[in-house]
Amino acid sequence: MEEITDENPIFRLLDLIPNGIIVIRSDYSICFWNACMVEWTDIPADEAKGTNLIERYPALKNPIIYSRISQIFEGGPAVLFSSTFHPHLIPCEFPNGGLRVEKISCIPFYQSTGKYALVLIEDMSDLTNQIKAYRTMKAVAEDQRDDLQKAQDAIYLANKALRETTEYLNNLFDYANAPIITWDSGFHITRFNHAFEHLTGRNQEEMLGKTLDLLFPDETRNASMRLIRKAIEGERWEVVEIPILVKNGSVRTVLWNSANILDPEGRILSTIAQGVDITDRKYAEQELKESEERFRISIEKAPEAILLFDINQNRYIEANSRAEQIFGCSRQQLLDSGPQQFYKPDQPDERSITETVNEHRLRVQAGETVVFERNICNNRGEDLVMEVRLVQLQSADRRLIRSSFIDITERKLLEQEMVYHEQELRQFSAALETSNKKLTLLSGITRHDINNQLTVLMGFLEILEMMQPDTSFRDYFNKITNAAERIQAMIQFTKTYEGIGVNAPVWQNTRTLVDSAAKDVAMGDIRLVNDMPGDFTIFADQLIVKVFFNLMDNAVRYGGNITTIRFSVEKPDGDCFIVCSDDGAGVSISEKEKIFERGFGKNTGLGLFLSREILAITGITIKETGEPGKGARFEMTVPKGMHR
Amino acid sequence: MIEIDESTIDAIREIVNIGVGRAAGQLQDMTGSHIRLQIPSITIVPFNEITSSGNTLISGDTLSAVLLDFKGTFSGISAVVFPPESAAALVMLLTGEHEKSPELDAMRIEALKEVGNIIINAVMGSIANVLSEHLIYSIPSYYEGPIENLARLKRKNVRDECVLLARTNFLVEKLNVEGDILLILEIGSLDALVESIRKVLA
Repeated sequence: MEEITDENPIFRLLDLIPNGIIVIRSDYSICFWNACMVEWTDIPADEAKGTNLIERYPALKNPIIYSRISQIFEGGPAVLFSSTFHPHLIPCEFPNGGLRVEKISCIPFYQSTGKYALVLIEDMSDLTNQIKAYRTMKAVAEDQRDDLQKAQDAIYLANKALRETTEYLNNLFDYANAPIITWDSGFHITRFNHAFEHLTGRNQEEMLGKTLDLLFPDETRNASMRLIRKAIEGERWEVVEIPILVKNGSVRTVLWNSANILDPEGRILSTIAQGVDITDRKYAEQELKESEERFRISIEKAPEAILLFDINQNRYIEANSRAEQIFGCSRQQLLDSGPQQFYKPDQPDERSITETVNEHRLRVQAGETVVFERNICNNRGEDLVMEVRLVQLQSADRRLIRSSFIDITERKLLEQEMVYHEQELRQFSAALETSNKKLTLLSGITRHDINNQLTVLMGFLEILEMMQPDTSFRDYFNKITNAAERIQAMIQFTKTYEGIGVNAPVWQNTRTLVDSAAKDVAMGDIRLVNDMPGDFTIFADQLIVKVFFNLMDNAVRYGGNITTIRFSVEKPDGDCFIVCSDDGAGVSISEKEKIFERGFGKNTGLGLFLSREILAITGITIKETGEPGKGARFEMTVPKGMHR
Repeated sequence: MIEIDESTIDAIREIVNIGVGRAAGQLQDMTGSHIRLQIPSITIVPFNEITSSGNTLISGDTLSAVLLDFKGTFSGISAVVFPPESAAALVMLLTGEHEKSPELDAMRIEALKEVGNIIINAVMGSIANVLSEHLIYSIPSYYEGPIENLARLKRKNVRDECVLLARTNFLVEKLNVEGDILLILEIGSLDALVESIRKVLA
């Protein structure tokens, strides 16, 4: 190729290229300046040609730039200068001002005339602006994306927190111990918790969407609804008592407080109310009130004088009317000075009052009930004897001592009289005992003597009967003998009867009594059935064994064709019956009572009469209740307290 | 392929180091950043084995590369290759830009091409100067894609060619960006290169 000139047709083509193109020699002199460069720099090609590129554009003198360009002429490859690092290496202005952003490539080529470099200047302004705009837009988008991401993260966290809070609040609502309910502006129930269900006994289906009036009893419904309307109108309940009707018809008393839930514009969305069921507390308060009233009445109406001493306050706090009567002073005087002001110096226990008062208080506080007597002289000057009883009354917050004073003045006098009479009685008893002994001795001697004389009489009668052959006297002898025998029986009766009640009654086992009595009865083939319980005892005269003997002996003697005698016990309420029955001839209706009369009977006529007397000592009665022809049945009724 | 002894490898490493050192100086002066370029290893592998050579940088799906064809006693392609993210990060560091997710747009590709141009020119200039060889160069170009297609852009029978692989570490402002300098030599060119080196060594 020849020297580079504008006339060279190849380089003329370079004028058509819309990029700046400069061709320089190895000495950096410009040998070609294309039309684009003319346009961009307003430097005509003729003016540019021949000048030194480095001198024209001082930025190229920078050693870094220069050394790189110089490589081209040392056989090195093309050199690129990017618009990023070198935007205005060869400054080219836009027509309206401002420098073009350039990318420059320095491409070596060789001609026979020497080494050249083609400097290609590309206008990157539009692309740079576009890219910068893109980058700005991208940065904004990324910022927005990041902001969006942050917002999403924040929303996620907020939602999570909201979910957790909602869950927490739901749990708080649902499982709160207090009943909670919400309703809308139309008084329709919108929500309630388990405690509310428990309170009302109603479930979701029965209440949700229903109006509130179903919750109230008839008698308070209107008043309750008035309160609720006020709540909807903005009134906030601090505490209001509204009775709630339970499904089973009972009514619970509930203290409520309420708050309105508002939308952002301040309109009421719903009302929430939380309650405290105070029914039990009210019952308890009422019960306590009544209990206190009962206590007060029981004290006030008590027959004895009562004073209450508060240990914590160390003073008397209550005195009843009876105390005013007994001590003859006002209630206030008693409360101010206590009952000690009326104690006499001499006391039954012969100890000092101060000493005993303190001791009694300590014993009472230890839980002991202290009972003692006090001699007092009341405000009216009357000397009285009091039985004092100290009891501690303990409650959760108070410690009281209840002092009761019973006027035992008369009782003490009676006791003194009783002591006197007891002494008298003992003296009389001793005298009576002596007399009885003498009488018993006398009657025993007399009976003995009469029996001896009767024996003599009867012996001589027998001799006379044997010596007197005249049979006409036999009848008289028999009558005399019978009379003597009856006298003898009478004597025997007096002996037996004399023994009744002589010894004090004792508790006796009935089963043993039956067995003992049976030993003296000639039972023969007759069977004795002793059904008396082994532990059944009665309180009776010690001769009762003779009663049992007598009943069995009578059955054997007069029962006829008898096979069995049975003793048993029947226990209706209170009294009990000892029954002696047999399967003999029984007792005719006309004789049921006569058999208990003295003188009745085929033998001595004293058995059942004596039996009834012996039993009567301890209130036991006997009667015959059998059915004639089917056997005798003797019922002995033992009063309550006389058997066990 | 001829046997390449360790002294030849050392000579290649030194030549490349000279060029790389020069390039580092130029980049440092140009950008004002403290830049160090290191050549820790020199490897010569057949091109068809380059992806299985254990070089994770090259075996990635996509590479950003600045290419330069050269012809002369030995011919081939010299290239500086980076993973695209590393390339973008390198340009960002050199330009002092800050962007949340930098991408290799046209401006940054131009900048990267200049960086690659400086490095390749320095290395190739060093080779040509040391070996006193005259090489003809193409205009530098930019390539983005898998390594397999890199050389095929230029020639067809690249599978039989050898690659002189120099691992480069760009240490910029405490950031270590790895890149590779490749010399993909045409058939016979490696022999010519080695022969030239041996002559110089001799």
